[in-house]
Amino acid sequence: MATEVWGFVEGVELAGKMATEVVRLAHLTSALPCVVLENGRERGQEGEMGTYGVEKVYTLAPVGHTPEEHTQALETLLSSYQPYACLFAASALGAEVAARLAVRLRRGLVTGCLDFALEEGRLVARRSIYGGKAQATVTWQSESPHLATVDMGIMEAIPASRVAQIQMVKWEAISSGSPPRVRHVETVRLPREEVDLGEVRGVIGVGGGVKEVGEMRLIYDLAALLDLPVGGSRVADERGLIPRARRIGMSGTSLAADVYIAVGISGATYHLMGVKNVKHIVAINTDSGAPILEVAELGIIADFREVIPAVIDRLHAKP
Amino acid sequence: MRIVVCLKGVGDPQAARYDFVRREVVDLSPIVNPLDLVALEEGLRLRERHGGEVTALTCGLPSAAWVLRRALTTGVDKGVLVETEAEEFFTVASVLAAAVRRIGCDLLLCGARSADTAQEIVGTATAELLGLPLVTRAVRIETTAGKQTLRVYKKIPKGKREVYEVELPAVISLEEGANVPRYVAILSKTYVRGIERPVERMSLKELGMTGARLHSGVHTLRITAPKPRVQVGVSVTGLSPAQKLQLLMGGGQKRGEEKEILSGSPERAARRLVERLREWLTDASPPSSA
Repeated sequence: MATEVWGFVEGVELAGKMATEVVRLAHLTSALPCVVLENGRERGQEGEMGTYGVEKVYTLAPVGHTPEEHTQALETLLSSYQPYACLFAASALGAEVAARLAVRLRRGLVTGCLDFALEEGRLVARRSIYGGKAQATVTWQSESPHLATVDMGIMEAIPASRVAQIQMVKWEAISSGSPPRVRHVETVRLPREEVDLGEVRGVIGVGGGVKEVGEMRLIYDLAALLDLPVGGSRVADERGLIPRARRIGMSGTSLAADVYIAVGISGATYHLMGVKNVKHIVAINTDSGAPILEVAELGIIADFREVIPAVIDRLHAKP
Repeated sequence: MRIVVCLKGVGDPQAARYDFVRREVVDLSPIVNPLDLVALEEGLRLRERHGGEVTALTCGLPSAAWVLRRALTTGVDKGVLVETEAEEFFTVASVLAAAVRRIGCDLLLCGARSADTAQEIVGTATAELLGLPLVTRAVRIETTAGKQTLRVYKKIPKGKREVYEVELPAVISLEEGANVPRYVAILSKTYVRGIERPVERMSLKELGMTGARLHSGVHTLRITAPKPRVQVGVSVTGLSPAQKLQLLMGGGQKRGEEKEILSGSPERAARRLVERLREWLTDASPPSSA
């Protein structure tokens, strides 16, 4: 039996990225790429895994919500199959489960891996230290499975050139019988007025093009419809259009959002520093030479006073 | 409530820089790990509301006592230093767990990760070794009247929070944003009273540990300057030599490949914008009223 490399898939959104990383690591170590899916939550993902080149899928029966319950299920699974390595997302769940497994199985764990390589036949991983000012190259000295969490933020989902044939293994988790001492009550989403700009999926930003407080009503109408918080540039802050805590850029918050809608923002370097990690930037600006258009994926050269009402109409028109 | 807060002295990442000649991180001015100070503040606030005592705990070389003096000046009741040379997560967690057993506590608090190595292992490993329930990355801790349980809000991405109920004794690791640690003015009453308090020292022997290093199973080979992750499957066809070079220098990172600039009719622009937003803003679950 070939050795295996595993990746624990946490949530549908990260499935493709984890599968890609597992395939990459398996290729590096000449192992079989496998993923562990939580059946019930990730149902229907099995087939898709093959498109990334995954060759074996372990499905876990639903294990409950807490990291402790996940640890229990994965501990028995890992001990039974002894893969060469097992990857987790460096998320709240992944980080806790991996650390618990490192203690329980007495195995080495490298967290927040950026990438992997082989050096003189041993697996090494790179990770950031001192807030990204330097990187450490770390190796495992314990027996397999080598445990690692990977920084999903920088990973990409890349479909394989050939769809792999998938082998399925179903695994019934053995419950310990005792109820978990940590009980998940609910998951809440903070209302957009309270949430920190650094942790939301999208932000609307206003800048010098918005001349007065009265024009903010239009912006807030759009924000309410899209359910996104409003931030802005230094100019907007100084003009009193946004509270100080909502300033974006070098002297304010850095965004990690999926979408940033820049309204009347020219895009001074200090502001752009704060949006460099945003996936998709939309810029609405009357000036076709505004630097924000350089980084925007969708640039609209028009007056926001005309565009935003049209956007609001369209959002109202169809659900 | 008997609260123990674990603290670690780290080199300040703000000041740190990589020295290309010496091939190590230099300019490491010592600070208490910022997230540990958040944990400390949470401990002090819980004591203010519910009484009890707060013990600051660290382990390391004898010189690490400065971390506890810093904690004592904020008004904690006691500072305990376990002397050890160990730095590996497994040994550190074992030492902390043994010390916590000796001190005794209802609630163990720590920062979710340290600012230097940011492994995010020690807190969880300590809870695991103590066999106590754990909630990581907490941004809010609520007490429930008359009950031995806490309600803990755990930070997860996209502005969401998982709410857990946990029985005491328990371990909680604190995430950024839980609170703003207090500033204690030098020569204020709290400061002076604190700085005069002695630091209690414990040896590994007293804790019944042999001092043998428990191996963590990982080994750092070298420290290098930051370099982006090398991307695979990045297409370079159709790029100019300059763009290819840029891609090569940046480790294959590229962005904003497809660009769309619209002008003219606001209706047309609005239609396109709404189309793109529906595609990009996929997670559209409504916010809770909480």
